[in-house]
Amino acid sequence: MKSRSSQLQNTLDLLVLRTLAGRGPLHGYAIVNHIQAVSDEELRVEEGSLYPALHRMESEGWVDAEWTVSETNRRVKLYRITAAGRKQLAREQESWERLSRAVGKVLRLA
Amino acid sequence: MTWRWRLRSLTTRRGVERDLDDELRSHIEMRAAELRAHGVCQADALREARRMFGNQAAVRESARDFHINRAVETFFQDARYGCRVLARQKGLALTAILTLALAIGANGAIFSAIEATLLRPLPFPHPEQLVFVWGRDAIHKRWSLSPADLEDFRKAGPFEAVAALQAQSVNLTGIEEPARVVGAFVSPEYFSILSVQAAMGRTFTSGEDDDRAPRAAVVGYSLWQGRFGGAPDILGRKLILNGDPYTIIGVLPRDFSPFRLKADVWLPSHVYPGYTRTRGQTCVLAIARLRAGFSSERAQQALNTVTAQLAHAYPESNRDRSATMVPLQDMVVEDIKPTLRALASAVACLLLIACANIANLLMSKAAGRRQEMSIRAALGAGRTRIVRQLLTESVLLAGAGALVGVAVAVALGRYIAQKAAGWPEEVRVELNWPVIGFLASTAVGAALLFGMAPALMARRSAAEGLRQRRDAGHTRLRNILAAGQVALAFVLLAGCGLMMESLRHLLHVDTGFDGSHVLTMEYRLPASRYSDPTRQARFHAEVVARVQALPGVEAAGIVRGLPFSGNGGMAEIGLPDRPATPASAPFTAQYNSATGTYFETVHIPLRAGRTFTSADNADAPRVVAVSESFVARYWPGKDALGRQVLIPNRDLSPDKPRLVAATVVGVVGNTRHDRLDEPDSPQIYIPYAQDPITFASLAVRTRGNPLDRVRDVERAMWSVDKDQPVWKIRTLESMVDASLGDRRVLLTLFAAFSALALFLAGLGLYGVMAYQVQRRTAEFGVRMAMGAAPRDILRMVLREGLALAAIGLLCGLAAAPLFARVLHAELFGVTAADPAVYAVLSAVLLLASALAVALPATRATRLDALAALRVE
Repeated sequence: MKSRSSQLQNTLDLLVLRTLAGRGPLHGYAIVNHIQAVSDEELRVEEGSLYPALHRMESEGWVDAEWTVSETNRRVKLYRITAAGRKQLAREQESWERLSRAVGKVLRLA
Repeated sequence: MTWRWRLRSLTTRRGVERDLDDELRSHIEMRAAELRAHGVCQADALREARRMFGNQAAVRESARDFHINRAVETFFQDARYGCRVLARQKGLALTAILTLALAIGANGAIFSAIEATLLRPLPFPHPEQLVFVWGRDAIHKRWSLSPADLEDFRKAGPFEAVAALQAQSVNLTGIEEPARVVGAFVSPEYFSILSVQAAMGRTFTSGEDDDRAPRAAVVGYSLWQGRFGGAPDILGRKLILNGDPYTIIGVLPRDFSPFRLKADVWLPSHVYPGYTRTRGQTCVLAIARLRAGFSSERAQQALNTVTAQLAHAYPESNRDRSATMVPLQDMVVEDIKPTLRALASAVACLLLIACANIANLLMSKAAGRRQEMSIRAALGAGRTRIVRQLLTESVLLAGAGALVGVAVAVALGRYIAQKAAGWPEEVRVELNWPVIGFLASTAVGAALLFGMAPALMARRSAAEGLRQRRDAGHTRLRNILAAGQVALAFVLLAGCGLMMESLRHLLHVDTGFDGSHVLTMEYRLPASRYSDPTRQARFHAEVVARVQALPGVEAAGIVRGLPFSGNGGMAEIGLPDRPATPASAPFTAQYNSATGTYFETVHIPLRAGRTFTSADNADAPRVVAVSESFVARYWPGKDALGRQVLIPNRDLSPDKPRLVAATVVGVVGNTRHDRLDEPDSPQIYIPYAQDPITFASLAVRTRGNPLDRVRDVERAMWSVDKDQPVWKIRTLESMVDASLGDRRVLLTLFAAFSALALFLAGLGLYGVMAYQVQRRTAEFGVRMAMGAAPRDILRMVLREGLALAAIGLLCGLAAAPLFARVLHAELFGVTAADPAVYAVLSAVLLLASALAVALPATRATRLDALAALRVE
């Protein structure tokens, strides 16, 4: 059984992987901003969770990282989703959708 | 984890750290830049960006923890820190390390014994194919086999080879003083079954198992080194063995340690004095190697088929005969298995007690480290990190304990191997990799066991932070641990007490004879010069006469099997005045032959009739003496004198009857023959002169110390035959005592273990109560301020401490009988739940507990009420 915190972790992974899959290589700060913007300011990713999560996913082989220089001439670390990451994303997305469908049904019918 | 990532983090640890710092800094700068874009001033923007980011250190630590070398580094950091902590608390560290060393060492010693006996394969190729083959008949479950039957076994499917073997002492003469060496009589297959090559020369070939072949001998390494000084030209030399010359054809390798055959010289099986190819006679033991792919079950089935066929073909001799195979490995260890099981349970108990003790110790210290943990938590140490830190300290303690424990294990292992006579010689206790691995894993397991509770406790205090300074509890866990220690200590104590009581009972067993002041020795006449029974009888009679004439000698007698010598056995008898029994369950009795003087020498009382005289010789009518238990079994309430008993016929020719009639002329007392705890069995004695054999045990009752007479007795023997060696020169008393040897060793070990357990349990109680008293100082202050007398406080603390002990004791009382069942084989005259033993031990335990609690209790009474109140 998965603990509550690991479910939260999975959700964060899902958001990050989806963002990277949709927007191409991004640095951490951009990921935070993107999720915040796309969710109409509803979701605010804590930096305290994001960087550990990124490093964890890097160690799992779901993302690759690379230092480059940004358009504002800053050294930034760009994260790129890998093939394994895409598979993981598909899995996470599938289980998330199943869950939200189920919750939706309960809300409609109960 | 991907290998590339792993590799990178391994190679560039500094790089990874800088990398992360850069990343976080760039994040904050980007946030600050955005804030500035929204009009926040330069200084505020950076501060705000940092604030929004939160605890950088925590993020850094959390992210970095995914790097494996980080983990290694953490361990070393924790270890360094742990060493510093332990160095500051030398008392605690030393107590814990010493306790662990004793507990882990004891476990290591017992494990090394288990490894050497149960786990390590025998030192032969494919040891799983080696089996010992026992004969079985109506009387004996494990008996010898006939060489003729072995021939048929060889033809059966399951065996690659079957070897006959037998051991007997052999007289070695032609040197300064006649000597006794141990001879092994083996058929040529023996060496190939065990895959042994001669170190020099050769072993037997198939033709040598024959009377016509020249007499050849293979000598053991130690005989070659000892008697021949390792002479390189030993091959071809002659040895005079049992009066016959043998040519030495080979020397066995030094490390050859054959199962149950610790011999000096190896001879072909057919020269064994009792050897006969007659199918009716069983005279050899056998080992065999199973063909590859034959399970022992299938092999046993095939063997059953063969023995059934033989029973059909030769009903006269083989009707009730069968054979059983026992894996050789099992044969080596079957006797010591129960002992090892008992010891293993005891040391496991001890380890648990030690762990509970150290857990309690650490927890009382951890209470003092609450502040430290809170500060570390505030400084950004993760909770897991704090748990890991404390567990690392535990592992350090256990590791140090295990290192010292190695010395304990080696010393204890040596002691056991040296003292325990029942220890198979094949197995040597040693400090090898399995044992080291066991010690290491025990240490880690123990560390987790005793380190977990304090670590989790610290984790909680770290979470609670600096807010809460009062002890929030853990009292219950600590009480449980203390009570548990008391319970386990009682279990060990009970085992020890039951064994002690058993030994006391055994020492009071009436053996039926008086072994004090009795000197004994054994000899065997060489068959080559004493083939005639009359000559044998004459020799024995002459020896008795000359020894009895010696000054300082009160009486001397000869017997075939002395009590507690391992000699002697059961024989089939017939009772004409009783209804016949089925052939598969004949009448039996413990069979012995003796001179009349033997009974007076060892003080076996005569109850009725007479013992034997010199008139009871080979030409006289056959007579026997029977024991009281014989009468009770076969003729209860009747007069035995003058009745007829059928005893085995000495003449084994096929045309002679198996049993011959003899008249009971005397009834003597029962004796214990093999063990003090054996039940009474019917015993029958035949006059030596009517049942002469080449082997004899001489018993001599002396005035003064029996061992002072040894030279005189030997000279008396050599005055009859100068070439006759004697051996096993010892007192009868020491033989009885030796039968208790293993029991004493086991009891000594148990006594040591339970004393340690009791001490640790007391220490545990003391620790818990001392902590309680310290914690409740304020409460006691209030009580005293309100008029409680010191006596009341004393009583209160004592009551609480003893309540803990009592709970432990109750649990111990419930568990002890279960544990005592493991000791089943060691118990004599007591039950596993002997009320008297349990009562005494409960008292001992409560007394020890009271002592342990008294110290903190008296300290509580000496508190100054005002000072106590000020503590808060």
